[in-house]
Amino acid sequence: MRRIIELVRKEFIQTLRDKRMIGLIFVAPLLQLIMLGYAVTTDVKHIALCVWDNDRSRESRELVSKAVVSGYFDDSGTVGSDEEMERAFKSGRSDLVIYFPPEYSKRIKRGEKAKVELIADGSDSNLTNIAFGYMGQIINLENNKLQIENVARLKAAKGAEIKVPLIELKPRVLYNPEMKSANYMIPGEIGLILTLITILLTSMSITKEKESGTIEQLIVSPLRSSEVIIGKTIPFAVIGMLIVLFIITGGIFVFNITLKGNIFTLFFASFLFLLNTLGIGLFISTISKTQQQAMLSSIIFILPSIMISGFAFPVSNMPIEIQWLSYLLPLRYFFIIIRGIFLKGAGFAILWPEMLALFLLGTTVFILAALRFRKKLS
Amino acid sequence: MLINRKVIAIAKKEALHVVRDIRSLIIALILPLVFLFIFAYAITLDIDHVKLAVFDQDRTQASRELINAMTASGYFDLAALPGSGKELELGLDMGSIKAGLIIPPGFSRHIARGETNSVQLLVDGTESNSANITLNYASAAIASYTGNIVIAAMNRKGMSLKRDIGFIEAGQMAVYNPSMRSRNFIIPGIIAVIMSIILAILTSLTIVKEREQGTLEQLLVTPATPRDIIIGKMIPYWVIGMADMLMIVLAGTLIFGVPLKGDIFLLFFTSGVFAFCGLGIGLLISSSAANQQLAIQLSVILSVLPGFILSGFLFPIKSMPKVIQAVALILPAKYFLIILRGVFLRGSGWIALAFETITLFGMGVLLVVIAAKRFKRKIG
Repeated sequence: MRRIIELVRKEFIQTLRDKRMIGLIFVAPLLQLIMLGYAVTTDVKHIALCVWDNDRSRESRELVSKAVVSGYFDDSGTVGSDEEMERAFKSGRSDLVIYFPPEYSKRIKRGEKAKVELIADGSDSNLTNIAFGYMGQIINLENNKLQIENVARLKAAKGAEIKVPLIELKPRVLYNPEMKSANYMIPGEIGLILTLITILLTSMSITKEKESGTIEQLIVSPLRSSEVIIGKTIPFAVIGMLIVLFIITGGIFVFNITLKGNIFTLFFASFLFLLNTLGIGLFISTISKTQQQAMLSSIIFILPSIMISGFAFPVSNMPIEIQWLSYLLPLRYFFIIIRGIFLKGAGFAILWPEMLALFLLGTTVFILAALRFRKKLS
Repeated sequence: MLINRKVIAIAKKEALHVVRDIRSLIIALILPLVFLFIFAYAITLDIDHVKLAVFDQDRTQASRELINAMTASGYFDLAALPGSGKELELGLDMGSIKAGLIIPPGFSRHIARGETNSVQLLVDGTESNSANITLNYASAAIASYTGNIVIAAMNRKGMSLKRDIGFIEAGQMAVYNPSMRSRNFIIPGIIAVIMSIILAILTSLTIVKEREQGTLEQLLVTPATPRDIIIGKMIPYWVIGMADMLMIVLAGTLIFGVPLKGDIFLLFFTSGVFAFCGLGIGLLISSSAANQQLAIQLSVILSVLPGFILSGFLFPIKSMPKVIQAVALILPAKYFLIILRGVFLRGSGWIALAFETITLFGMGVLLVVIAAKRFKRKIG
């Protein structure tokens, strides 16, 4: 036990000797959190809307002003021809064009079906989808109003004794009622940053000892190999937990997201997750000869695993094979846990399967890596 | 002269390093394919098949018709018919469903009597974009269902009405990506992301590594000047970056059917220039960082994350706060992405993209010159 403590002390001194390293370990996560927190927003606002109005009526102007008032669209002027529209798209003046045909208002007044065309740039399919979605909602609202008006008019024409049913939809958005993407993204970013920093740090610093030959000194010391492994990983576990504390506080205070669940559950889950990243880091160090190899191997694991474990894109939208693959990735479970705790206030009762998965994956990876590391040492 | 015998000798030596570390080289060349695979197969930004649970307290023909109206759009999949509101909310809590519809008891009776009914839709808002689009589809389905029962009710009273009274129908068209495949939008962007990542991390290590191992001094006592060393060191990595680009272009157009409408020379020229930007950033990091771990963390902060997050690859720049937009302005990847999407999807040419091309060129020159100056001062 004493020997492990000594080794841990040595590791701390070695890691923290370089002042820049301290800055890196504690400033880098915050910098990343701030950059990601502000930049990663899938909320789309200020969609540049151009109007192509061949009707020039009160009704067409009303629909446009409703779009602008909604806050999602910016009035970006008018276009009058195909060429002008194309120029507007290419120059970036317009993301979406709404076209009103000549008879638009007349048809509405007559109670007939009126058509509008929504034409989008489309080269940014994400933005275009969202623009169609928002405009669709505005038109839906307008349709509800028209329906009520039409019914009223018909009733008046036929006499008031007719009753016509209407159905109203009462939506309630759970967990994230303001529908701010930050509430979804920032807990995810904690997972992202933790993964990036702990895997890179662990895999590179152990490989560094191999590169510089100091690992042999550890081998000839009276330390047992299990002690070496524990001693080498404890400092990174401690640093990892400090980073968790840092970015959670940052997320709460800088970005005002509320932590609905229990903070201790969060720390416990983070610890289970660190078991995984440290194990992966250790494993990568056993298969790498140089720091460059360690780093590239880490990157080729980290980036894809971020993408398919649901950081920005829901796993449930992915093909089934990829979903199976994602069951092997600790980040998948951690994203569910951390969002569950932050947004839904979920606890052990709901999140225990994910925690169990993290624990099992983590111990497996860690033990495998430790065995490999021991074999390499002897 | 920019390229002399000494530069070539340094480049050869660096290329030998690269080839000798065969695993690093393979990873550098495989990473673009991994990205292509993930973004072409795994990730669609298109949202459909949202899992819907319906708590039907009415269980009549009318309520079943309403459920049909919801699922007929192809947007919702009926995933469960829970027996209570609690059960429905538990499904949302566990994430097994994303939306829940609650039909009140007496729904059909109200309709028959011509009274206003309200149904409740619970939406999982954790992922705000999906939630927004879900709401849109649900309200459209309900509106069209309501329209139908209104017409039916009116016709029963002897008013022969056509369908779709007083309805605005919105046709949709996407000009430069008519099929609206997110693949077409994502794959050109991968070129910028991969080049940012690979070039910055490979070059950020190159000088620190030599310094750590003490071989930098050996280089400096050779007749090669610092300028020769910098240029010579850049060449092999530039080649790797261009190879990555070429692989993505070939696989993207031939395998994944992404259209390449514009000038291919413009694509190659701007890629070459962008590669210099990436090399410049990497060399700057390399001549500033004390050890390889620092160099890597710096290049993650300065290149990998910005290339991924701030460039507009996945997240629209125009929705970011003004300060972040200002940061994105000095990011070469932002301009390169505009060029890539312009060339691939819109068929834009040199004139349409002149501003971005010139900006990128200026940034490339500036970054390389600054990196070389810094390197010279460090070792001088």
